[in-house]
Amino acid sequence: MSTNNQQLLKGSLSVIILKLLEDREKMYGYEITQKVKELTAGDMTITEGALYPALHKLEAEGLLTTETQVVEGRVRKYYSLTKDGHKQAASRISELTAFVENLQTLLNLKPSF
Amino acid sequence: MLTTDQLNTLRFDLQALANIEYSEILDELLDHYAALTEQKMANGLTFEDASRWAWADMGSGEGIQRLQEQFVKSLRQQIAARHKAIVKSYFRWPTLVTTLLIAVMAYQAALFIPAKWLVTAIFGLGVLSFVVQLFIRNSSRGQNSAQRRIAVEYLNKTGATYLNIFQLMLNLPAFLTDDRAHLVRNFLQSYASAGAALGFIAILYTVSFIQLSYERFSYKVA
Repeated sequence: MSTNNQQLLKGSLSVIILKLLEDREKMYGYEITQKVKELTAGDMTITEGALYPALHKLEAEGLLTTETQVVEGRVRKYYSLTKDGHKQAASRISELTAFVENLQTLLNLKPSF
Repeated sequence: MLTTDQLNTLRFDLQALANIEYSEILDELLDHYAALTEQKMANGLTFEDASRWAWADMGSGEGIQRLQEQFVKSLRQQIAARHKAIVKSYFRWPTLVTTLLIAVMAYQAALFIPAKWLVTAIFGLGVLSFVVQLFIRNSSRGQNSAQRRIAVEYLNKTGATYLNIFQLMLNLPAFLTDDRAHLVRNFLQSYASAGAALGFIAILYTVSFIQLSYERFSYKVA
């Protein structure tokens, strides 16, 4: 994935996380990276350096809650949406969708001579 | 599935090569590192090669260390913001009026209380708050939880403000008696009211630390 794509992805990462968690009960960090890779057929990859600060920020904002489980001898931290997180997810997703639609309109404009 | 020895090797990498010291971030990164290693082993690599690739994928020592730095920075900001909100929540009209009333009461009562008792009582107010802070610090000693350690660091740092208030209380007599030694009564009354008001503020400040430490030290990775 190019640097430009990485920048675009970084700007919308929190919405991507909220959307993924809205569709599933709970997810852990590695699972999120793999899900994004799978859904975009490998076109998008989330780096650990971007994912974890975003997860911690959303947790600090009270949009995510965490629980840990011991899986295969190691501690696994699962993230899920809080009540506020569900509300915010809906609003942020619709905001981003509207933005992308507007962007598409602008990018598809035919040059007028 | 990785063996205990293999997991220990990965944990050692994180601790020794990337200086990951906080348990919350260590557990999370270990799980990620292990999952990546397992994925590469499933593709036919040996544990050594798989872990080496996984390490590079995660950004190597520097990249991984940056994750911890960002985590700590964010935690510091959260703690400072929360403490500010706690202190702000105390300083509303009821608190300001109470502080003023305490100062007026101390001014009135100072005439009937022996000077020695007065000075001891105000000194005691300051010491009490100081003891509470020391207790908070000691009770969390030896913890490697980021929440606890960073909250204690914050406490140590901002505790200086409290110490300044305390110092002011102790130095108030010298300040007030400067060239006014003959005005013993006025001095005692002024010292009592200002000291009591400062003592009350110092106690509120300490209570804010207790509230903050209760919230932060009782933080549990669910």
